[in-house]
Amino acid sequence: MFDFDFSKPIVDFSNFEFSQLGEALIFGGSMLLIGIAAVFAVLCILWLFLTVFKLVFHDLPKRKAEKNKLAPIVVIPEKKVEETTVNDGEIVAVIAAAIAMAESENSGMKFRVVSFKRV
Amino acid sequence: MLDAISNFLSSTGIAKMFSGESGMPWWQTLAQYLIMYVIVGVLFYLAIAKKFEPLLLMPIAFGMLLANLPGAELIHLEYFFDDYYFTVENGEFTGTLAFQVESFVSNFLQYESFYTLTEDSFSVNIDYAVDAIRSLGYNVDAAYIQEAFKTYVSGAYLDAEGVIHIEMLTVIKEVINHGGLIDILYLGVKLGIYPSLIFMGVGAMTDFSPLIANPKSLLMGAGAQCGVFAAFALALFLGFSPMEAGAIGIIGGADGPTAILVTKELAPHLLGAIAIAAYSYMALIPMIQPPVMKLLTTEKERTIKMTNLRTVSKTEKILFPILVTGIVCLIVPDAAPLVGFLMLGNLLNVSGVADRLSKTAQNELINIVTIFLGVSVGATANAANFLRIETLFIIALGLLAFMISTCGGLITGKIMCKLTGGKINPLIGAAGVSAVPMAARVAQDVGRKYDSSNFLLMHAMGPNVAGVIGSAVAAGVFLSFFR
Repeated sequence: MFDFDFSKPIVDFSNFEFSQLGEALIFGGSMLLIGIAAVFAVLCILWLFLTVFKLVFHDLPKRKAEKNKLAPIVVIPEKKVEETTVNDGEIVAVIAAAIAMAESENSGMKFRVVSFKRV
Repeated sequence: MLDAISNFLSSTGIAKMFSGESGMPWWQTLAQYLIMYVIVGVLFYLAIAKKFEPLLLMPIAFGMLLANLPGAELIHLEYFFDDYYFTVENGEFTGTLAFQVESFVSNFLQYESFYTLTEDSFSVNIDYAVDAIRSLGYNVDAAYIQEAFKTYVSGAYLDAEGVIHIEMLTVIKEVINHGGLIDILYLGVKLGIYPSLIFMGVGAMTDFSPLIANPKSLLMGAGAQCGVFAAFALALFLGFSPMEAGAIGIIGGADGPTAILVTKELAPHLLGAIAIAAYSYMALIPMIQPPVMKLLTTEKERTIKMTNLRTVSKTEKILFPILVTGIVCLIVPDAAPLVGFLMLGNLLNVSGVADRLSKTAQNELINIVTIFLGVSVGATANAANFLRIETLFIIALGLLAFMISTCGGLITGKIMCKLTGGKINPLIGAAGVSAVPMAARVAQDVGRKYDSSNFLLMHAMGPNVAGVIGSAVAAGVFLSFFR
């Protein structure tokens, strides 16, 4: 048998009445303790996880880096990169010649390469 | 012709203002409206001239103005304040669904032996009804009775434990058919959409690095929630119901969206007063907190310099919102609408791959929602709802909750200062009340007052953002208890 009062939910706090002021204080006090304990518990768990974060992502890499610092440093001579000194005028001439060869047969267009830019 | 003019004149708001409402004499109705206009004027002054939280106080004040224009009918609070219900008074059904329940009784539960109607309750012997119907050759069970209830009492349903619930769809249909503009906007509050979207924007704007770098500051964020529960106990003592007390207590969390989300669930009739109190006190933090900070700390403590925070890697920043969502929502699932969206916003920002979404969350979206939220929340504060002695209690309790929360954060800060051998400046504990970043700025300002070379802002941001998570958890605790 379901015995229900439609006007109220299972625990109807909206119509909750304390018969004595003491009851209200005891309920309020217990909620105070439960509530603060719940907030502290959740945030303490987060604290714990963030401490693990610090260990994994900060302290361990730092220690590794420090260990690496202690290892003898082997100096590897840098390879000299040869600078290519190409005459810009030559490149202009080559590009102009190539375009001229490609275009002259079909269109007969006249053109002149004024400048070029490195990409 | 004269009739038409007379009808027009009697339909004006001015005529309604002088006509007297709810059996009140005309002068009382007029006085109520005038008092509300004065309150609206004060809020406009605070928002525009004093620049106290103008982005929120201004829409709230304007919403109040719109709600108190007689005849405009932009909002109908009866749609939202549990008006779709039925109850039993003196052996008779009353309430908006009373007719439908009577129909259920007369058509389905035809025999009096199937149910008991007393002066204040209505109980159904479902087993008896099932047996009787089966004896007639029909194969029915308890679920069949529930289904029958749904058919006859449209807009409500009976759960397996026999508790009646009013379907939200009933309210929405009524709003769409007969509601005003603000009724439609208010659905965003009623359905809990706006607070979560605002939290998403806040998450996208907030840098949690100080908290990740110094996780100890979570404790100060937790300590600063004691005002929430202390105000709850005090409200109970003053005669508020536990649900109302929960809504009032959450003002101490110094977080507007959280206060609105809790209040719309637990005590929607107090929404206007609580939202106005919450946002006003958040704006007044630079005035409320410093005296408490000075009272609870020594000059030596205020001048403590804290060491620089470590740098936080991008991996940590990305894992943090996922981790917080998982942990908090698994322990307090009722906090999920707030914490989940706060962390979603933060992930959009720190991931670096969803800049468009992050920018939308922290600019356009939050601005649009703020306007809707402010106007619709302000509109709940009509004269009948707002001009009550309870409003004064709410305002007083809200202030007390703020001050106790500040004390809680400071005391936790002082304890941590002692335990760490003076490495933590207790002033940053006061930033544990959420109000980001206002509370952290106050801690910085008070600290610099005593030593101009002391920079506490980044250190105070840790407890400050911890307070946001803490107040969402406190809200979840209330919702899990009283919803």
